[in-house]
Amino acid sequence: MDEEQRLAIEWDCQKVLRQYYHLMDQRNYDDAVNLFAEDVNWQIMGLDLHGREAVRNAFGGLTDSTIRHVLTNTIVDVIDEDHVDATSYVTIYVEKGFPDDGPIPFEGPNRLGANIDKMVRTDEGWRIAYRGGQRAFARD
Amino acid sequence: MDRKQERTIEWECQKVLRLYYQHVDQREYEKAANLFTPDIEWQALGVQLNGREELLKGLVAGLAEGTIAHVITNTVVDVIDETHAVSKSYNSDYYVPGARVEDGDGPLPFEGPHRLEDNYTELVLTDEGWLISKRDVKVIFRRSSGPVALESWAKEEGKEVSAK
Repeated sequence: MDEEQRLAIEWDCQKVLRQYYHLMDQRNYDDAVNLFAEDVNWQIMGLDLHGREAVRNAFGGLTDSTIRHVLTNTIVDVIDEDHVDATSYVTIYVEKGFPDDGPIPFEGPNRLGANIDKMVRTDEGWRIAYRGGQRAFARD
Repeated sequence: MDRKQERTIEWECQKVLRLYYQHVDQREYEKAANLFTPDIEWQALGVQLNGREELLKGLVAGLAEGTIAHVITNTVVDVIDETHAVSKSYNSDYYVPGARVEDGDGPLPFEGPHRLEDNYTELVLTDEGWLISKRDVKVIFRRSSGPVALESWAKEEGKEVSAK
């Protein structure tokens, strides 16, 4: 694999990670879960879930609140042409209410943590095969 | 268009978005305005501005007397074709009204971001390079405080300010 191929993989994987949070924050859970591999292993927030269906069933709990996941510090390490590791920070803002009638009052972020992802190239494109991590700070 | 060409466009458009915030945060408002098309449709904080000239007035009125840092994250650029792209980002805005950091002798006190926004942007390829042709900013979270300078200016100018 040459340098150009490596950079292209890093770029495409970062895009998937960012796209995921846009979909989640817009409550488009069906499209969001499709950015995971079919046999994804999700180990975050105290859960140990296997497969897209199990992950999809875990989504949707925030029915009365608005959330934004601010994704930063992403590093994608290419293992080979079909596998990467990635780490990121996620700063989470979540408040009760919806912004349709105007901004929701807030006092800053509620949580900050680190994501650890493993991604694989599939026929659908790059997908998240493993998600782990740790929530380092919480204000709730 | 192949994926390689798309990546190049995604990279160039991301750079324009970052450059815009670098310019406004450094008070380089004319350079910032020149990253928009002459017929730009711009909306933020419920204030609608049309065209580069009006945008430039709004940027100066809204930002010149305070200190702001727009932290842009989560940017996803989707290429429509060789000359059109759209993007989504989040902005965490750190803002102190009525004080210019360069006029003091140290950092300004703060309690965290003043607001967090969803940004939607349309970009077109022009003879000047990729430029922003439409910008729509929706404030999701905001600290409880009075109107910011842009909102006050817009009201003084008789512009309608919607609850965005």
